[in-house]
Amino acid sequence: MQIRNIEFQKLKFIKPPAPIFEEDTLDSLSELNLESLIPIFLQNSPKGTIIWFGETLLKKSQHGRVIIFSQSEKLPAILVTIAVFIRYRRPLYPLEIARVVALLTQSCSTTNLPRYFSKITGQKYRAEWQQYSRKILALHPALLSFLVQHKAPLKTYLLLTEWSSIEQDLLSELFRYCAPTLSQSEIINRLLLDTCKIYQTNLSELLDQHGIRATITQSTLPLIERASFLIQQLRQLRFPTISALEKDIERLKQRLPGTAKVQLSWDTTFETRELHLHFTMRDKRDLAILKDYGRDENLALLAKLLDLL
Amino acid sequence: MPDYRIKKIFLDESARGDELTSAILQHYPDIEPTIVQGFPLKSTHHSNPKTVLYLTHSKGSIVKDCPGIVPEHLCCRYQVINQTLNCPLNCSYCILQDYLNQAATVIYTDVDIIQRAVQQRVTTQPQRFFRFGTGELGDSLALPASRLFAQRLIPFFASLPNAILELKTKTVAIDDLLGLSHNEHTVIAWSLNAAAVIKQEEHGTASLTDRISAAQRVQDAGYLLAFHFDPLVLIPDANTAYRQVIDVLFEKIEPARIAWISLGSLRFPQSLEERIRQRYPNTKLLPAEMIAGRDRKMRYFRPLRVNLYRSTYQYIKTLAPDVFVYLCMETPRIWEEVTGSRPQDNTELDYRFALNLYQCFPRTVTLAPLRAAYY
Repeated sequence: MQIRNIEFQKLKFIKPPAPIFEEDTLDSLSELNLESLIPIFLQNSPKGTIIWFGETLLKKSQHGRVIIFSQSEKLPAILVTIAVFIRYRRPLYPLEIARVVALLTQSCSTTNLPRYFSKITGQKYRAEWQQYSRKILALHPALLSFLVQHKAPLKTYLLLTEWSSIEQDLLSELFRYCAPTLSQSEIINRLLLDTCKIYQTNLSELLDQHGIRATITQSTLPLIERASFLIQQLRQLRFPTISALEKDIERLKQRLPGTAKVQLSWDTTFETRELHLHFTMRDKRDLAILKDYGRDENLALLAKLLDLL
Repeated sequence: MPDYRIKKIFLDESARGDELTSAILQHYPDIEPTIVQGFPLKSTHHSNPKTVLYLTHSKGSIVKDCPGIVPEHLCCRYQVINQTLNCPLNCSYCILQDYLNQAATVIYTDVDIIQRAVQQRVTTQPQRFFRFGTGELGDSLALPASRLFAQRLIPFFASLPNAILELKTKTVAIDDLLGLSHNEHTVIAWSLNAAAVIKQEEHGTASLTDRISAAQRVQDAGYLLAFHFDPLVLIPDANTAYRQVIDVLFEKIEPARIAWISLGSLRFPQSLEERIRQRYPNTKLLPAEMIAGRDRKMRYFRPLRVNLYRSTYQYIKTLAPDVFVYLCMETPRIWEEVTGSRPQDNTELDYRFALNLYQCFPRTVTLAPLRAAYY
């Protein structure tokens, strides 16, 4: 085994699962502008260089540190070395674990697989990993990139694997437009999955029929607000009754005297019919606001609000 | 029917000499029990807990108030006997998935201690009429061990003047009970649901028609009956689907033999949602328009469940006006919107049960209940 540094600019993004490359062709695989995920482990083979796994965000200061294994070294031993190398810095990403499973499945007996898996990943092997691995490695590259960059847990990966490849394309487009955080992406994903089930439709139809894609992609909102806006739109589709009621309440609430001294809230679980009016009074002049709030038309609005609740 | 086969039995030293233990072991002549002192498997053990039995003695109190008592909801003050901990059936919505983490189905075999605990409860308030049930942490009749326990409880309850036993099931395993002397102090109860929900969500349970046929046989044996429309699920055209169930029910069952009917809508702790998705990817329960209540349980949005309750309640009352119908784990407001009235509190609801039994089943409740005795 030898470790050597490769010029950072020459390290390239490789789509999973890692294929065999000529070292000289690494240049053509670059996606450095996307803060690239870089395979850092190579094995010499008669056909070329096998890039095993190890997608990590390399900072420029780290440079491309490449470990090259000789042909005689056995795969599990290589993987253990790699995993220790990575785990020294951070826990393994689900993507990396998926790749470990794929590689071990090709090269180990089923009896040895759990043992090697535990040694490499530090986790107990579960039979479900076979299925997870296949699905994760087939995820859209842009989504994989998103997941790794956001250090997503396994459940987020699995949530995304529920979409077909065409739907994953759409989803990655949506993510590009609204740049969600990890938790926002999980909410969006869950809302979309559930809403598609409710409307018994696919993602493409759902987004187009309800104008969601157009609304988001043509939005002039600042990037930072787009994900919240999308969630709001999707919630209205996913929870139609609750959303309609919330809208009605908001509409009535806006007709009440709005002042910084008065706050109106209600039981957001809708289980109890509780309205909470919170008055902040600092001097006697504030009593006038209180008095104003007690006008008949305001009380009538409050009564309507109670009826809605 | 599911594979009820038990593959392994652990027998705790403490339970070795029990009469119930011997009876249970006779059911599994091919399995040599492993004698242990304390349960040897960890909760993370990979064997299926439904295929492993652990016979032991109860450690703490296993006769308890129903855990449904929370301030926001009306509770009927049911008493639970947790003798069997786990269930061989596989209902996708089952709370036990979240609640139990033992690596085996635990069976308590110290029947005398359990009976003493029941006796103690009922003698402390002799004027209150108590309802006990074994179906809280498992089906009351699905496992032979539960049925054998029920066979010992039925004659015991027959002799208690102020208590009744409810055996709740989704199976048709009633043959062993038919000849027992019950003195109308045992209610055999079935959970009922729309045929589509049974097929899709209640894996390994008996079909709707089989359940009702079994109920008819139990009715012929003189037992009191109860039915639980729980969980009501918002399937497409749910109101019609549940009306069809009620039609099927009253075709075969005499309303005058029904001690009570409950209505409860689908509900589960938030933490269970992900588990349901993982274990039952084909479930139709999710997604739904649900909201977390103050007890942190997910329920259908209030107007939706009021609509479902109201339709089901009114149809039952149309076909059987005198049957006692109650809502399980619901707020006073929902009670009012569905039934037009609400019990003042949990004690009044408990009292209403006793009063109804006294009026409809005078052999069961022989003395007129006093409101003051329910506190």
